[in-house]
Amino acid sequence: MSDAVQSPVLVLGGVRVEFGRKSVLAGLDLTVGANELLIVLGATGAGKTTLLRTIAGLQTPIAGTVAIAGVDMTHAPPGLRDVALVFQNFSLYPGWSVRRNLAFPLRAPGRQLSDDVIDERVTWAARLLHIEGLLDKPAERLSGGQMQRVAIGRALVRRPRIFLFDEPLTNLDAKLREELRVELALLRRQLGIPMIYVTHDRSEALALADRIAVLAGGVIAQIGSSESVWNTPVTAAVAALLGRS
Amino acid sequence: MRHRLGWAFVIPTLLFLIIFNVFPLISSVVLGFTNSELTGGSWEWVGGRNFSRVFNDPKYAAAVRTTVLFTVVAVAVELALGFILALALHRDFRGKTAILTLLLIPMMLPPAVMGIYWNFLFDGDYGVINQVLHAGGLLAPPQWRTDPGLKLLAVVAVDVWMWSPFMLLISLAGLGSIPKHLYEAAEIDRASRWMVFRRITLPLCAPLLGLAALLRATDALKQFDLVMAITGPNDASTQTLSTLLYQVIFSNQRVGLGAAYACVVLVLVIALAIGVTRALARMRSANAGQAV
Amino acid sequence: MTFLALNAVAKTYADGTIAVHGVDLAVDEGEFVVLLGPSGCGKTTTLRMVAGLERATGGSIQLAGKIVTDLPPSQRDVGFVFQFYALYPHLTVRDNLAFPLEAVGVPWRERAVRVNEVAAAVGVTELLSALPRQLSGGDQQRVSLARALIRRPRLWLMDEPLGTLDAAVRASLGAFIHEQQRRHRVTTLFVTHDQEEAMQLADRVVVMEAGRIRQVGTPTAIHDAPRSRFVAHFVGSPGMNFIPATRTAQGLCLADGRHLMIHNAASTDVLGPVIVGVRPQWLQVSTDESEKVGLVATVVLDEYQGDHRLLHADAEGLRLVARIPATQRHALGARVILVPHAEGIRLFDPHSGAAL
Repeated sequence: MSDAVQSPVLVLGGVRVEFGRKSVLAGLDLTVGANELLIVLGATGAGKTTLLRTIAGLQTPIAGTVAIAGVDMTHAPPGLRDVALVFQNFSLYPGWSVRRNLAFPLRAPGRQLSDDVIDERVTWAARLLHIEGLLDKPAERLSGGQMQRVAIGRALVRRPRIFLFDEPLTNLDAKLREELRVELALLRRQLGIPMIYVTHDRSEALALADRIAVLAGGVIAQIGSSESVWNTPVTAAVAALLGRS
Repeated sequence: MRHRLGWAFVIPTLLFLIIFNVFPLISSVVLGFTNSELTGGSWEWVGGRNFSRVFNDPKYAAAVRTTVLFTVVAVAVELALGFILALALHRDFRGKTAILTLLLIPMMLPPAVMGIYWNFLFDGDYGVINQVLHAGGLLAPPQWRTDPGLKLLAVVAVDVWMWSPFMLLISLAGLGSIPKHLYEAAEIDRASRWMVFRRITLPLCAPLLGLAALLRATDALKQFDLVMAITGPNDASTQTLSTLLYQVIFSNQRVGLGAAYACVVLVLVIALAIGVTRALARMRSANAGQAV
Repeated sequence: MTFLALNAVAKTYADGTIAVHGVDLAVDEGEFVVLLGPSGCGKTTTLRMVAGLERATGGSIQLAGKIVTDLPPSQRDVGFVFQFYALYPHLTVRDNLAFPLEAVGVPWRERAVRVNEVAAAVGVTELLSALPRQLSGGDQQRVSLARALIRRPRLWLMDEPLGTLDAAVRASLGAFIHEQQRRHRVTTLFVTHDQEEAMQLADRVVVMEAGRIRQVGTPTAIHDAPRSRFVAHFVGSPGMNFIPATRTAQGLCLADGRHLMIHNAASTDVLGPVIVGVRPQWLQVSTDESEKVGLVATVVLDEYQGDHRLLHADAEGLRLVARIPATQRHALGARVILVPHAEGIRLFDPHSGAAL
């Protein structure tokens, strides 16, 4: 895949974010294509999470533009952007069943979906994530891996235009991380929704990526396929991020 | 547009603050420079005369001493007692909730009622306290309500009884916020119980305890109701700034002079309040540092 | 010489949950032993019982020839590294390091010398005046290691010390712990759920599951000769593949009548149904339709890993992974034949899951 992205879903142009005097994103450009899975790699504090927050509308840039599906969304509130964010610390509503947790985003005011549609969507998401058997279990009785599946499912039911993942597997056991990584890879082929996925796990990055974007110094230092980033890292720091020291 | 909308939300609060906070503050300071009286009628500017009277009044000096003494002793005892109780109660046992609820009752009762109730207990001849002391063999039990040296002690005792539970609650919150793994680490490090208390429990609780003490002190400096109920406003050995103020305004009907007295209380309370806000800000920044 | 001995050590909580069912383990002096298992397997509880932070409800623990089962942590002479560092937040790094010395009454002059010594060894000298919250996670864990080291305890206990760190920091700190342990010859018990970490650090690995020890052995033994399906799957990244087959005099026969293997390499004479275990690196992927032996499957996922690829294939509902060279490519949906290498074959009992 080349840098010229076919039918872009998300275009960031010259995005700048500063916290006080500290520049976190310094004129960052990024284009993400339809159906693409883009991995964002970067050292701790490189601004990976800030980048996701800016796309989601939780952080307003001081300069630059964020366009989603061709519409300028730079100043649009999160609710209008139709993106879903899955965090590292998955939080479900305890005391609620998995079904109710999954249905919650669909019952948001202004969504006016019929119960049948909600039911159908919840079942669909549960089947994709292999949690059909858990639908009536209270959320607090799930294992860590099951909880993270439900958290992903909660993002899934909305069928958002873009998926944002912030190290979703980091808090899981190594073995579970491996299994969910494979499931995510299979899942995303069925979905056809673009994903931006932040991680510091090189196995995850290499295995999942259509393209890898390396974030350093507030800009994209390198972007390209797993193979090209692995084989020709532009700096020693990029090589180190991929575990090639 | 965003900014205009923002102002629309802020203005009501601002108006409210001006009408109910800023205006009374200014008006009481202004009153301090007049000779206006409670009954109304004409008044005129008297310049700094009220204030010079305040500072030359021996009753005033005595009231400052009494108030500060009361505040320091009461708050210190409440803090110590509350913290010790919290240390004892900071574990799980049967009936803990019941005990806590019982301990918290005094804090919720109206102080005037409490003052009157304690008067019965303190009564020199019929009071329960002295009955017990008498039965215990003390032939000349202390005269709580007449001995000038004991009267202030009685007020302190009731205040302590009322407000130690507050310190207990804050202390329990402080103890509860110390992560369990720090105690485990200290156990591994072979620290003695005393060292754990001195180096971990106390310093980690201190910011919250300090804040609670400051809050209690601002309140204690305005001590009024217990004194009124136990000794009345005009008792030399228990007259606090607030009861003196009451005396000047309502018995002597000198509003202007009273306002001057009030200003002085105000300065004290504001000084403490600034202390409270600073302490809060420091705690917040410390917590923010932790989150990063 | 056995330095730490666990005899039928068990833990049942007040609510009746059994966290550890009678664990037996002997650790030699100077040995680095890793407790490995999924979350909830009882590894952390076991470690905490050795430390004395948790009371054993059964069995006994012997440390340096002395029964310590009912002693408090302070009388066991152990250093503990917590997953979330557990540094004293209001004390500087210097005071954190001096804390264990102060606790046992080391005079302040000697304290200062030893703090500087250990800080230099761990590489935190320039951080001595900082507060824990001003440090990165990796540096906090370094300080925590130094604090566990400074009193020169006879036993080091570590509860997933690398679990919350970034991959890069994890690797370097792991190597550092290894080096420190070798240098000081401190007997070490280390808990992790990450089998790669266990393999890199351990002299011996203890695999735990559901409150029981499943296998104890060197990393090589655990990896190459797993005693059960659980160990075979849990160890290795990804874990071992399992293929149901029937063992006949001719070889290993698959359900569809094909042969998985013609001659028998395995070390058993049992005939009949077995589970064949093959690690991904012992599975060859062939596109040669004339291949007589091997499992026919369809490629479902190709995971690029830089220096190799993980090819996931489906054989009638059976999911298999093969580790192949990065240069070898197979299209999704392609028909492939997975041929196991005779050397890599392990056999398991289809009912008990035990190695045959």
